[in-house]
Amino acid sequence: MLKKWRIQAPLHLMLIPGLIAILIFSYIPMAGIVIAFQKFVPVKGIFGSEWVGLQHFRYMIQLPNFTQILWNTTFIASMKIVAGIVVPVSIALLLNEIRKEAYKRTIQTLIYLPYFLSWVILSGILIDILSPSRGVVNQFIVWLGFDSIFFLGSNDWFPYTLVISNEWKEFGFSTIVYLAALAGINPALYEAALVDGASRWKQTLHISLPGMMPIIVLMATLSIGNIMNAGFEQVFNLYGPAVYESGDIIDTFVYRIGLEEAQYGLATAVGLLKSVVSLLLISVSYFLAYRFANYRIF
Amino acid sequence: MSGHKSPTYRIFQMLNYGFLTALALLCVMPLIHLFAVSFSSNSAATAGEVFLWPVEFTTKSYEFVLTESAFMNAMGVTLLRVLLGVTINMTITILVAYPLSKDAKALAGRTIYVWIFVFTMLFSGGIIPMYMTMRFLGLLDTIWVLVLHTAVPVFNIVILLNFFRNLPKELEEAALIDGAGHWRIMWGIFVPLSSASIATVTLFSIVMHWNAWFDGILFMNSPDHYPLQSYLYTVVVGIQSIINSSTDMEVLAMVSDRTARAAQLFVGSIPVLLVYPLLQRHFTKGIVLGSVKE
Amino acid sequence: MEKKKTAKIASGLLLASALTLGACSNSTNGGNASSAPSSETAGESKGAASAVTGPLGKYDPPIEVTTVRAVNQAFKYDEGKSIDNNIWTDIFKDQYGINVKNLWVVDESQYRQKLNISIASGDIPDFMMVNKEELLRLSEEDQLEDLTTLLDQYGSDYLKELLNQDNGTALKAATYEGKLLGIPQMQVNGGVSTAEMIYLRYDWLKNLNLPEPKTIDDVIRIATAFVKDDPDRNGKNDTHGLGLNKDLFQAHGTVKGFFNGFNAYPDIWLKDDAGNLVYGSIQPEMKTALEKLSELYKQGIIDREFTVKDWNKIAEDIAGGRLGLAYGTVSDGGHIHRANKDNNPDAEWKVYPIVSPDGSPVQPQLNDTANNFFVVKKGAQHPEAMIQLANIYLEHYYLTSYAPDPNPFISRDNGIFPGKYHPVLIDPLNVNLDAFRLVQEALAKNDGSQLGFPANVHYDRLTKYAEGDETMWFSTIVFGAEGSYSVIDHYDRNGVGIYNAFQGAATPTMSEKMASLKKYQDETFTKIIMGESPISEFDKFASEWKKLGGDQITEEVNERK
Repeated sequence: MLKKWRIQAPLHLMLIPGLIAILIFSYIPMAGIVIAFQKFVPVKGIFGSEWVGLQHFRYMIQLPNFTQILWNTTFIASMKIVAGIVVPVSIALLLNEIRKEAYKRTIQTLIYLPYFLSWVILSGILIDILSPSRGVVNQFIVWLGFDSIFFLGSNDWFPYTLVISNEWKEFGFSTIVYLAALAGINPALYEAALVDGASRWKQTLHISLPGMMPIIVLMATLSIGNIMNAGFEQVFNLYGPAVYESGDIIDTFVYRIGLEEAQYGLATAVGLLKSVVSLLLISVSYFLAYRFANYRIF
Repeated sequence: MSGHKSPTYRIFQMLNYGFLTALALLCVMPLIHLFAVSFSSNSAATAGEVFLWPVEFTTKSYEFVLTESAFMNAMGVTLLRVLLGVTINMTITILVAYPLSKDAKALAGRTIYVWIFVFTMLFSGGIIPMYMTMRFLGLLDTIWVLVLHTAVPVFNIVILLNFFRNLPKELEEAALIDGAGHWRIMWGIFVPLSSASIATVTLFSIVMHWNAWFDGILFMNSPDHYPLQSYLYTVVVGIQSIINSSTDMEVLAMVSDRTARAAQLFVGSIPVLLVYPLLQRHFTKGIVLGSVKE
Repeated sequence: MEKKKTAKIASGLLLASALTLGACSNSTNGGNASSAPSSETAGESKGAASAVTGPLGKYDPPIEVTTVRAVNQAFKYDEGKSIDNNIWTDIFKDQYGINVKNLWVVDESQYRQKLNISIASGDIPDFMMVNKEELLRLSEEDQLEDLTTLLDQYGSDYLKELLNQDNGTALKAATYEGKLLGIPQMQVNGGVSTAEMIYLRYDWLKNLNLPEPKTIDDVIRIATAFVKDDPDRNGKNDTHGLGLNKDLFQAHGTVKGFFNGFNAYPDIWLKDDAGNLVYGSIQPEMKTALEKLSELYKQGIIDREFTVKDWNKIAEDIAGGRLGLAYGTVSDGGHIHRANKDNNPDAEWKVYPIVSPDGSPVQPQLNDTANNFFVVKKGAQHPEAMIQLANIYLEHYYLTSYAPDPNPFISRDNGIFPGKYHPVLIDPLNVNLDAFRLVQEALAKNDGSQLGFPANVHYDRLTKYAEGDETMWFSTIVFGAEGSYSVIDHYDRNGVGIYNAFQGAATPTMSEKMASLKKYQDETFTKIIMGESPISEFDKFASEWKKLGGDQITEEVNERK
C-alpha cells in the first residue's frame, strides 16, 4: 500500500499547480453565477442586488420569438458541429496522401490563414463575393445557367451560408489536431498493410481512420457542448432584419437587449443555461462511451 | 509501395492536388485582399474597387504603421504575453495531462480530478467576479492578469492526455520496473515521444494568447498597456461605435481610413502566421516509431 | 493615401461673441477667485483644507480628484504626452490647483462595460460620465451628489448659458425628484444639427436635366431616373436610385428623413393633440412612407441588396459612383462623399433639406441633445471640482484669445487634438452652425481677419478651395455656402425640428420588452419594403405592438413625462 502511494504521490503532486490555478481563477469567480438569479445592479454589487429567482429564465422562455431563436441557434450550431468534424478530418486524410512534403506544408499553412481574420473583415469580403449582382460566386452560378442566389439576404440560404463560410474560416485550423493524430500512428502498421497488399483506400479505412478515432471522438464530444453557440461574431456581422427569421440566435438577441441597458443578470442566466446544456450533453456522451465501449473520452 | 502505382490512385492524386490547391487559394484570398487594400489609395479602397490587386499603389499606410508607436507598443505587449502565457500554459498542461492520462488504478481519484478540470471549461462566473478577483489579487493592469486567468487551458489538457494515453503502455511499464519515477517517465519518455501533439497544443496556446482581446481591454487600465489584438479591436470594431455614436467630423475623418486599418491588420497577423510553419516539422511522421525503436 | 489633412472641424465659438459673455472672459489664470476660508464652502466637505467659492478659483493647497476616461483611436498625443499628462493637466495643476487622476482609461467601445464592472466592484471615482440608465440606477441607490446648488454657485455664466441652449431639455433629463444629479454633456453638432438631409449627385442631375428636389415626388423621379436613364453616361446599367442601408434608421442611407417627409417619426415618442405621449413607429403616417418605399423597391429603384448593406457598403457605392441619392446627416459629406470626389473629380454633390409630398416645410426628427451626463459621487471631498473643470474647459478653449498664436487646443495637421483630452467636455450645442454663419458673413465681406476659432479654420479652407485647391472640397460640402450647414441653417431659421418627447431613462417594461418590439418592427418594415409582406401587415404590427407590451410602455412613459 505504502509503495503504491510512493509511486502515485508524484502524480498528485503534479496536479497541484493546476488545481490551485483553477481554484483561484475559475472556482472562486464562479460564485458570480448567482447573478443569474438576481436583478443585478452594478452599484449594489453581487451581495446587495435583489434576488429574483428564475425570473431571467422565465423571461427568456416567454419571449415572443424564443422558440424561433432557440431553433435557429441549435440548427445552425449543430450543422456547424457536424461540418466542423467532417471537413477537417477529410482534409487531414487528403493531405495525408500528399507525398511532396514542401507542397503539403504550403497547403497546410495557406488553409490556416483565414482563422486569423476577424469576422468584421471577412464579412465585408463575403458580402462582396456573394452579392447577387456583382459577386464572383453568382457570376459563376449565372454562367452555369442558373439564377443568381441571394446567399446573405434570403432566409432559405442564410443558415447554410453561415455554416459554409464558418468552415471556410475554421477548417484549416481544426485540421491541425487531426494531422497530429495521423503523425502519431505507428508507421509499422502501414508497412504491414503494404505487405498484405492493401490499397491506399483500405489503409485509410483500416489504419488512418481508426488511428484518429480517439481524437475524433474527443473533438466531437467537446464540440457537442457548443450546441447553443452558433457563433455570435459571425452572425452579428452578417445578419440584418431581413434574415432575423432564420439568423437571429440567442447571443445576438441578448446582445440587442443589452443595448438598452447593461443586463448582466440576463446575460449570466443565458450563459448558465448554455453551460448546463453543454454539461448534460458532454456527460451523456462521456458515460455512454464508458458504458458501451468501456472507453473514457477524457 | 505498390499501392501508390495503381491508375485509379494516380487519378485520385491528380484530383487531390487540384482540389487542395483550389482550397488553399480560396483560403488565402481574404489575406491577399487585405494586402491589396493596404497598398491602395484610400479613396479606391473606400469605393470598394480593390479586390486582389492594389489600386493606385502606395506604401503610405505602411509608413504610417511602422511609425505608429501605439501599434508597435501593443505588439511588444503581445509578444511578452505569448512568451509568458505559453510557458505557463505548457508547464501546467503537461503536468496535468500526464497524471490524468493514467487510468483510475494508477491514479486514485482520477475521474474526480478530470471532472474538476472539465467543469471549469463549461461553467464560468462571468466577467464581474473575475474582475473582482483580479482586483483583490492586485493584478489589474499588469501583464500577469492576462497570463494567469488563462493559466489552465483545459481543452489543451484534454487533448494532450488523449495523446499521452495512446502511447504504448509497455514503455511506461518497463521504465517503472527499471525503478524510474513518474517525473523521469514524463520528461524522459512521454514528452519527447509526443512532439506532434505537444506542438499542436503549443500552437493552440500561442493562438489563444495571440487572439485574446477582451481581457486586455477589461483588465488593463490604459490603452498603452493593451496587447495587439485589443489595440486592433479598437482600430477595427471600436471605429464602428465611434461612427455610430459620434457626430464629430474631426473624429469621423480620422477613423474612416481603410488602408491604414488593413495595413495594421496585415502586419499584426504576420508573426502568428509564421509560427505554424515553424512548428510544422514536428508533425512529420515516424518520430514516434523512431524513438521507440531506440 | 494622402497624409491625413483631415477635416479639422473642431468645435468653438467666435471670440467676438465670447467677449460679451462677462467677467470671466479674460481671466486665464483664475484671477477672479480667491482661496477663501473653508467655512464658506458649500457644505459637507468637512476637513477639506482648501476651497474656492466661485467659478474658476485656485485651490491652495492643491486638491486631487479621481475620474475614469473613455478614449478612442482619434486620440493622438505629442511625444511624451498622454491622457494622464498633457496641456490640460498642466493647466489644472498650475493655474487651479487641481490634480485630476484617471483611475483607468479605456477604449470608448468598452467604456460602459468597464464602468459597470468597476462600479460593481466598488470602485466609484469622484466624478464620471454616465448614460441615462446608469444615472437612474445611481440616483436610485442615492450614490450621487445633488448638483443643483453647486452648479448655481460654481458654474460660470457661460456654462450655465450653454446648458440652457436646448431650453433645459437635457437638464430636465438629469433631474430626479427636483435634484439635479448630472451635468448633461451637450453634443457638438447636437440639436438641430442632427436633422437629416438629402445628398444628391448634382452632375447626374444636370446630365438628366432634372429639377432639384422640392417634393417627395421629385425625389422619386430623380431616384427613378438615376436607375433607368444612365445618369453617369457610361452606357451601363450600373447605378442605384435611393440609397438605403439595412438598419433603416441610422447612419448614411437612413430613411428617417424620408419618413419625416410624411410626418412619420420612427423610434421616438411624440406628443399627440391631447398632450399624451405616443410611439412614432406605430402611427398611421408610417404606413404611407412604407408603402412608397415598397413601390420603389418593387421597381428596382432601391437596391435589391440593401438588406445586407450597412452604411459602410452604402459609402462604397457612393465612393464608387454607383449611388447618387441618399439621406444622411451633416457630417457625412466630409468623409463619405469626399472619397467619391477623390476618385472622380468631376463628381458634384449638393445637399437639400428633406421634403414633403406637397413641398411644404418638413419637421425633421432630432436626436437628444445629451446622451451622457457628468455625475459626482456622493460624499466626494470636492463635489464642485467637476463643475470647475467644465468652467476651465470653456474658459480656455472658447473664451480665451490666443491671437496671434493659434489656439493650442484645436486639432492640427498630424491629427493631434489637445482639446479632447479634457475630462469634462461640454461643448455649445451649435458651435458649428454658428461658425458656418460667421464664415458666410466673412466671405460675403471678403474679410476673414476678424474671425476667431473655429470659423477662421473654415474660412481659410474655403478660401483655398475657391483658389483652386481641390483637396479642400470636403470643407465646402460642409461649410460652404451650399454645404450641409446651409441646410441646418435653413432648418434653424425656420424653427423646425422634433425632439423625442420622452427624455427619461428606460422604464421597466421598456427594458424588458423593447428589444423584442424593435426586432418585430425592423423585421416587419424590412419585409414590407421588400414586398414580402403586404402593406396591410403594418396594421397588424401596430396592434400587435400594443398587445406585446407597447401599451404598458406607453402607460409608463406617460406617467413619467
